[in-house]
Amino acid sequence: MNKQPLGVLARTLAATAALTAFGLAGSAHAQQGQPLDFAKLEMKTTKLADNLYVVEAAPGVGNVVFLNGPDGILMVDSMFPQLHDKLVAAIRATGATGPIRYIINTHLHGDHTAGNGLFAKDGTVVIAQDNVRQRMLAKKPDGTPAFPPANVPMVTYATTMTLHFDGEDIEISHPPAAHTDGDSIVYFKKANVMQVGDLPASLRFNNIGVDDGGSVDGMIADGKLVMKMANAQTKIVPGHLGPVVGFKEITIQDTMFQTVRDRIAKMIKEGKTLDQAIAAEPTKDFNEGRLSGNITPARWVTLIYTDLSRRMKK
Amino acid sequence: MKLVKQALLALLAAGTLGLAAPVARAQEQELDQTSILAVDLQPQPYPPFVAVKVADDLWEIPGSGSNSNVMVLVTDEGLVLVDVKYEYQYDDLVKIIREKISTKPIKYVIDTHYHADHSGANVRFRQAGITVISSTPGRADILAKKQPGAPAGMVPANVTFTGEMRLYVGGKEVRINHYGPGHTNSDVVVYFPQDRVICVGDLVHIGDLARGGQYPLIDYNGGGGLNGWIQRLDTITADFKIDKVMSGHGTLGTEADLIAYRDILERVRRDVRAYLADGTKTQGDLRAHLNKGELHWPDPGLAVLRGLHGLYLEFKP
Repeated sequence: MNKQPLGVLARTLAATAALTAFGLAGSAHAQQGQPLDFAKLEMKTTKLADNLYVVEAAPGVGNVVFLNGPDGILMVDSMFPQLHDKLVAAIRATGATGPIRYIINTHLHGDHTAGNGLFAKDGTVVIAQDNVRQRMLAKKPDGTPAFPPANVPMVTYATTMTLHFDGEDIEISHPPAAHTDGDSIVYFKKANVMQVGDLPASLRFNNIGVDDGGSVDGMIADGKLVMKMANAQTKIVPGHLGPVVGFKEITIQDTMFQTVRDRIAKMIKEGKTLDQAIAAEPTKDFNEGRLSGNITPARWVTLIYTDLSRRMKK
Repeated sequence: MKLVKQALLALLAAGTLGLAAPVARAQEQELDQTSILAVDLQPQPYPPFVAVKVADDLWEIPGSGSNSNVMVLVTDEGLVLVDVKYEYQYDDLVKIIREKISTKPIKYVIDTHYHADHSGANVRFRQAGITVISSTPGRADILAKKQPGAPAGMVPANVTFTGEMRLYVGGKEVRINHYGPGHTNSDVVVYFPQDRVICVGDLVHIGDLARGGQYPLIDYNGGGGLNGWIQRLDTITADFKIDKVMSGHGTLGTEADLIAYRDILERVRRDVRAYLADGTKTQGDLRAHLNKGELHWPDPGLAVLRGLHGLYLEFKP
């Protein structure tokens, strides 16, 4: 992994981004940098199909899709342990009484995996792409585990895996590295619902795991890939916000990613520093209506600048 | 025991011969397939199961009749089973595990391939809420009833994968790989890196003379093929450090046995390819040749029916 100072900053942002409240970028509602008050978060449940739901920890902290039926319950991502009881209560409130058999993690970040351990303790099998496990087991510079061992997935796959559960076919596939190098797209094929984790989908400044194998170009490519894998009727569930989006939102995000990427690449070529790039406000015409957590426009520019400057040096 | 195995082979051969030339098909009618079906599908008496320690955390429950060898990984968190024999043997299988090996919960079952002597008991493990894993074709082939005369009520895996999968249970790692067609198109190998033990299903036969020698049962109907099979064994020896090999039937062996079996396959391939090379030979000629040659395939024994038509198509110039 790259250990450049900017990379460390990006890593820190990645780790803490979801721990802070979302606010409207560039608006009076911005609540950047405030720690999450888990007690105040509201669980909102949306029905996606007969036995398929999404629970949103609102506003924007995370979306958990769950499938319920005779085989039990399958979830995508696990939120934070502080939200465990609320999440389980939201699931039970739909009438789902069975055991929670499987969790599929869309990637390694804590806002998607920190809740794993409390479910695994009760026998839930946690599934993710190989690189999620490898990165979660890595040690920090001080020798301590990067993630609590209890949250590490115990079943991993390389390219694709399919679960046949509750009468649904759940296809898990690993796209080329984008948000991280361990991303999974989870497609509930019969219901035509696709959970895409933190690939570009909802209108926000997505974190980019530039120290977890992710890249801005990967994000752009996988946004397009999602639109190839899905169809216009697919209910696409992003990792945050939504909780349901479609090609319209992905296309809008695609335009922003490409435009801002090109602007920052041009500035790097011109020898502009990071501070100069931030000061130029390359996201300015996209800020309106976009929600941001700790990933403010300035921080988003930092991530892209970091990623591109590393690659352009090579 | 021999009869049961031969009956299974006949069923598989019948499937592979579905497209056979009329002449060849007439020859196969010597076999009373109705009675063979009856013999195979009805639960039969079998010698009691035993448990054999392979490593500190690995136990084998050897095949007892036509059913497959089973490997059991024991961890503090629970057990992983590779292959599970027939459905009607489920109770005895669980009993020997409980009495001789461990009372920990069974966490995962892995099918090495879709044949009923390996995956028949899936249905009972699934009913018990246990995750059953196979390659993607391993599930599809059971649903498509690719094995002629397979028992009714076969249930496939509920978790499938392409390429590779890994399980981490109680501090132990299990590597599962699907490389492509061989004995069938669904063959997976299961590797226990802590013990350098690999379960290869029916990609290898070690000391399994009940199958009419070591000649390959190539399930062409189930997507198998000889070229692919040889490639699979080359990949396995390249990818893994192997001390012990559990084949689908027969005795426990070593990497040398795996390589020796690969060499038998290579001899069969070289012989068949050379014989068919001039393009004038019929399937009937090939059959007669296989019975005469150095590697002679006993006829009218059942072994010659193992994929004769598929073999002819695969190597016909």
